Amino acid sequence: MGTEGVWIPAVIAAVGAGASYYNTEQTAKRQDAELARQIVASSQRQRDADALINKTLMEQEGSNADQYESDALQQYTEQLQRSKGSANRGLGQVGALSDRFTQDAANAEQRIDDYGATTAKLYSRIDAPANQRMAEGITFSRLAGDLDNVRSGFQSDDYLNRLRLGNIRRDPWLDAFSQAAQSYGTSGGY
Amino acid sequence: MGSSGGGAQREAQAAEARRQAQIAQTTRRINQIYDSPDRQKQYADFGSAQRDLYMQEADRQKGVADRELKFALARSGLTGGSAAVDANRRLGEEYSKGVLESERQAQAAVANLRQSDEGSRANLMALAQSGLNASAASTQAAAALRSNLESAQSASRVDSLGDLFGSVMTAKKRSEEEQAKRRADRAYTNNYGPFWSLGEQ
Repeated sequence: MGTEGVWIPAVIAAVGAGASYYNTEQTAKRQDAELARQIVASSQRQRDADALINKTLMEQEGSNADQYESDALQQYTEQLQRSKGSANRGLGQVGALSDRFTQDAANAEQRIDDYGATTAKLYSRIDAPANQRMAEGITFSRLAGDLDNVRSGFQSDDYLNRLRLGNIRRDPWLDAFSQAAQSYGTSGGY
Repeated sequence: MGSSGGGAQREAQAAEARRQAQIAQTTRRINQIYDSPDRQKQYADFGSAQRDLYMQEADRQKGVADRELKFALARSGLTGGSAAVDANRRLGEEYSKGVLESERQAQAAVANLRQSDEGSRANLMALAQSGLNASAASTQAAAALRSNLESAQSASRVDSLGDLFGSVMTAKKRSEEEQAKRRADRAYTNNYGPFWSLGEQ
């Protein structure tokens, strides 16, 4: 037996080691590709969450008390209009009335109207910020609920991702070949 | 590390950079909303409306009290006397007290509104942060898993290289042993007679 007794087992052992290395590399590549896919999918879900937050922020940026003020004022004014008869009832005297009385009664009616309008305006200015914040609170609650849904999706994905990643394993046939080759090389071809 | 490992790492880095940018931008936007001149103007307008409402009521009550006092003093024949001065002084003091109370309540209402907004800002910030970090847990888990895999791969590769040279060294050693054995056999045969000649192997 010449030098082939040395180099043949050595070459076979090297081929076995190479096969093991190749198997490791391929497994790592597949795991890496799967991880990259999972991170991309996770980023997409994150974009959904970002969009929800962005939508809420846009609503918040556009949130203004003016609309609430005009709505409240309109309701107060309508209520005043409905109750105007009752407010002015005492001034509606019948019979022979002096011009002075008539004039004073008209002025008093005007002052009642002015008082109601001024008070309604003040009430609506006071109510508007509170109503605006109530609406903002509802928007935040909705966002919290939506984000909970997104988070549930994340948790579900996370579980499945771990399963998928765990299923990417080394090729057992290649490992068997590698082991056999290396055993042969180690034993020196015997 | 070879060709593997780049894709996931790149994606994780990109996702993290994007997340950080989003957090910074969102924080800035939320602060802008609550620090905006519109909100500041609203506080002022709200306080002014409160003040005006209280003052309107105080003035109305003062007007009624002035008239009633005027007629009461007249009916009692006290108009122009010290009792009238004393009664009007008390009325004025009550009115001043009412004005101050109005201002106090107006300021308290504005403070409440500001406090409510600060709470709202903190809530929105926390909500946004939690939403923007929604993927952080899974990305970090993936990164940790990646790190474990890297470590396992690294160990596996080191083992492979160790096996490679170990196999070669074992084969070489075995071959040398065989060679030494053959040399010994040959020497023994040559030196101690032809009977045990086994021939070269």
